[in-house]
Amino acid sequence: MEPLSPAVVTVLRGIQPWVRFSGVLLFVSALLSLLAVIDALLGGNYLNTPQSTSEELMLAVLLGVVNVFFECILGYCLVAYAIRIGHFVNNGVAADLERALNMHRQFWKSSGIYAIVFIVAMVIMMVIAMMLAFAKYSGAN
Amino acid sequence: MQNEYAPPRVDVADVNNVSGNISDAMIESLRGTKPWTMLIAVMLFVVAGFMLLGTFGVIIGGLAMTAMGGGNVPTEMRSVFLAIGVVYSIFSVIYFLLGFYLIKFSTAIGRLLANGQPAELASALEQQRKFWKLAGIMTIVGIVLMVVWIVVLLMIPGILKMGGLH
Repeated sequence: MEPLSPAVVTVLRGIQPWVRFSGVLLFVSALLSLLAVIDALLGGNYLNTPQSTSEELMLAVLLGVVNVFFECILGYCLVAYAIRIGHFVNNGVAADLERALNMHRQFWKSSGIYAIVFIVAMVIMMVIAMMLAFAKYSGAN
Repeated sequence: MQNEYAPPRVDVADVNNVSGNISDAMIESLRGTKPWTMLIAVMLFVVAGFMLLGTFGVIIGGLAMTAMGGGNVPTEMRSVFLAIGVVYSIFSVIYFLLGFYLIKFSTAIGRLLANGQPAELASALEQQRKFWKLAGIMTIVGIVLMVVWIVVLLMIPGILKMGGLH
């Protein structure tokens, strides 16, 4: 096994503040999404337009909850990654870098799963919207 | 003014007391990271491509509207189309750069897995640093622009009202 170089510490020192910033912003974004979901459940009009049906509202709430869930996970991974980078930079112990890189892996894995879920949900919603439009058009004729 | 009662402190960036090796756990973490960063990078390239298509669409739409409308298309409308095209192209470049840094990160991990050279780990992390720095700066710019936009939207009714009163 090759020894770690001091250059790794220098680069990680540059990564840490940006990762922490992004992690905190993800928590803020999750909080705003949660407020939007609560607003919709209380009958507000942020996610709920006067034209939307109860099924559309429930779908918007469901997607909002999924969004909050993933944003919390991603925010947690990034903040934990930044904290572990801090431990490694301060102490220089390789075990801290192991934990940091593991958290980094979890962040990108969660991001990938989130992206796949988002794309699949988008495709399903497009298909449903097309089917509803087709049914409406067929009914009109 | 310097605090005379602060504890003694040495903060030298180029002196790093690093102990340990690139362990199997690190290699496994990076091996697990690579396919996901590749996936996100490809998605970022696709989004950049769509943004570029949007840029061309807006420019062509604006030109077509001008050609069909003759001199009747207001200058403000053409300016709006141009502004949207410029914003789309800027986003396209940003998404492309983010994808580019992630691809370079993934390829550096690939070299590290193949050769086991510690320099490749520093190289991969350097690409990651560039990615996070760009993402962070763009987020700050986005937040500032959003605040400016909200302030402008809040001021418009007041300006219109003042114009009406005078």
